[in-house]
Amino acid sequence: MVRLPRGFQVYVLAVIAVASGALWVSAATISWDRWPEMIMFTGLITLAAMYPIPHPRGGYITSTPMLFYVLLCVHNPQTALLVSSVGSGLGAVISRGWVPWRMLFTGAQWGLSVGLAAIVFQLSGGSLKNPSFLTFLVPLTVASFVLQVSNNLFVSWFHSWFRKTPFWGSWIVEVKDYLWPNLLSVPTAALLAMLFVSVHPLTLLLFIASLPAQRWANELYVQHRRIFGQAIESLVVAIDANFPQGKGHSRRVANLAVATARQLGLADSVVDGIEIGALVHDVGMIGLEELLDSDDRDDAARLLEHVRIGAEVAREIPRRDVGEIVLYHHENFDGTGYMGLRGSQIPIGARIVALAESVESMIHSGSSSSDGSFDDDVIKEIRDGAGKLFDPRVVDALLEAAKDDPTLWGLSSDSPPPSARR
Amino acid sequence: MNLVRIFPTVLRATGAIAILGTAALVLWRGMSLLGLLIVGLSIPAAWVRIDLEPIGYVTLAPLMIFTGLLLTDTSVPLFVAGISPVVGGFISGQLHWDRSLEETGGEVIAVLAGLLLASQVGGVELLAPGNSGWIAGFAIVTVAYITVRFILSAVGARVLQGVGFVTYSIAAGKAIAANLTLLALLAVGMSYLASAYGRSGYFILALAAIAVVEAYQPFKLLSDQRAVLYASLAMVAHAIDLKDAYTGRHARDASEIAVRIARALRLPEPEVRKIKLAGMLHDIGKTGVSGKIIRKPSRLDPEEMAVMRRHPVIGAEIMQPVELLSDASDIVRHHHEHFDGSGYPDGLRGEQIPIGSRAVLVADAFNAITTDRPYQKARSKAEALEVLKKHAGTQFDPLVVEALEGVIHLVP
Repeated sequence: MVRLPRGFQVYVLAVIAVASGALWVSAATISWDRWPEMIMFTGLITLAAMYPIPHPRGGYITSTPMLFYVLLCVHNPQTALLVSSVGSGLGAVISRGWVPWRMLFTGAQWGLSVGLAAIVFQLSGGSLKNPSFLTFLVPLTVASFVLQVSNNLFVSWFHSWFRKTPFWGSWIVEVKDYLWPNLLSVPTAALLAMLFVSVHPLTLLLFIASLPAQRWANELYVQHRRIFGQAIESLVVAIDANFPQGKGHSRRVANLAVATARQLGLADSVVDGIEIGALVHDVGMIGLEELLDSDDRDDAARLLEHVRIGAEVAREIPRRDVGEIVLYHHENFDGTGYMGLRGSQIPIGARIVALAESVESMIHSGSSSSDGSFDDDVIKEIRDGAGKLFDPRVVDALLEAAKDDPTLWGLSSDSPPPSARR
Repeated sequence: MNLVRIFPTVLRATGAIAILGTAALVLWRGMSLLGLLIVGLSIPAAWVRIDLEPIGYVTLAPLMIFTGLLLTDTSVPLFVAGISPVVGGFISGQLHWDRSLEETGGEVIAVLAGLLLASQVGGVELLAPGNSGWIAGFAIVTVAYITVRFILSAVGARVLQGVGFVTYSIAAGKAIAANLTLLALLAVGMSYLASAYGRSGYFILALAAIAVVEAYQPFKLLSDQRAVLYASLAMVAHAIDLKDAYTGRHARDASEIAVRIARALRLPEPEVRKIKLAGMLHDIGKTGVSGKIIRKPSRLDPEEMAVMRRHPVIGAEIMQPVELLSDASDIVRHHHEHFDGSGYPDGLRGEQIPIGSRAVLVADAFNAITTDRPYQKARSKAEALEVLKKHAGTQFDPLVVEALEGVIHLVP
């Protein structure tokens, strides 16, 4: 076994000790008379812990929380503690091999989280006697939140020792990431608990039956999303080949645009659209060389035509926002752009990409005095453009994002494709 | 063939009448609290819409239709059937009136068929669980509903997409029938719980409906992502076409023609899917060829010709490492092989050439002749077919050309 840091050892031992202590104290109140149910729960939790399902957002999840919610509805906290820790400990051994301390830690941390959530459920008046919205669904929702926060806490602390990740930051990110999927699983858990009490405990087996199908669907989903990313990336290579500044241009613009959009607090799905739109914003320029060397119309009209063609290509994707970014990313904020839209008539994504593209070319093609870095000249140029070329709010957001993350100006283009990130 | 127009038009008209009719019925009869709950729950249920390959769909709206049949009077399930496709389209932000009306027509015809059959046999009033004979009544309605839905979608697939009945039955048809049966069973369970527990029964009903929606959600995600993936491939193909003189939808149309040919040749469905992808991406190798050569109106010199002739190989190399596309890369590699062995890159002849490549070659040529090109104006479909026939046996596979002739009225 690898020597682990002393602090980490203390932490793991402490968690195990607290859980064992809690078990010791509560041994008398465990409802042993309902042992068949307890065995069924243990078995199901072990099974679910062995059976990870790919999460649409990346990584793997198991369905054990769903079983924990049912468990804490139908058993007292002490029993829930015992059953959940044994079940998840066994699951850890079977799926990840015989490492005693890890088995004990996994069992202990789940047991403590479930026990705590069960206490919260009872304290907030949750009961299956006469289930209604206030006496059942609300307490269960609160309990599920407590369980998730507690589990996230244990896991982020564990990782902060193990992978040297910052503890607070990763805890908050985990809580945010799993909040919605977790809350959405509450109705199903509530239904299973009611069936468990009012029909028969064996109805819980219904739930297990749906796992393989869900895993199949999620695996394919992740695969499709990865190939989607590859398709976009291959298109980006073809687009970049048309430009003198060339390789990496589209990716750098996309990174700037995404950082700005995040800074503006836009929703994840909107940010996704902005990333795709920024990646393909110049798609109409494929085949531009022909226009540049064999035509006698003026440049602006030709470029405009290619922007239009590009938008038509981008509209193949069934998202209006992507097509709009391609079509309107040459608009100026004061209405002096190609099509004369102004201010909020220009979609927000297009305003962001317009600024990101200008910044990228200022820095990268050296159109300002700067040499591949972000300096005061560039800041001044952007500030001067605010209100004329660019949306002042977007300018502020981009500069703010740059303050938070100075590496942004390194404008590295080897960031992962959209599919690989959450 | 007029069926292509008549069939969807009839469905749409039925759908439009059904929406108005069921709304009027509900206004006239009024609606109980339970009815309102069921209509409300049909909104998330209709949101879960899963598109099937090659054509067809599954939604959860039938769950609420069946529950309504069991727990309320007939106006509620009819209303749910009438509005769910439009509601589903509306909340997912992709409302296509044509498609939604067609689906409404199908749903309402199926529910009506079930109710009519049940009233012939024993009366619909028996349906509430607990009344004697409710199982028989419900079974009759459901079986009729499922049968009609199955037949309608199979006919739609045959008429609109040229998918044979057997092929359809073992692919999408099977999924539709299985899911509808499952939803009917779930509806029985939900109605039982809802009627057995009084007031908290409504609560259980709502929870159960949401739980089913959640269980189906991964499949919806998958189906949506598959649509986006195909769209992004179409976008790549469209963008590659920009290197050529701009021809608009060439890649997409060529793919559709190739699929029609493949269906007419009765190829198995997995092969058709490969041909669809290959038809779309057949020119992806042109990314590696300069636009000057691709667009050169005059004859290419031998050196340029050699570069140009590499594009099928480059295309296959691009597709090879990508899962899902690697299967189709062989078709792309050989899509310029001629039937008599005079093509490139490998000079294969006759049956040695993958059938997919032979289909894509014909589709590509047909679409090129029938669209405007810098070197010539578009010609009619009949003229194009004459050209293809003239070269059948040398350049093209005669069987493939014959297959195209059979479906000529269906292709773009």
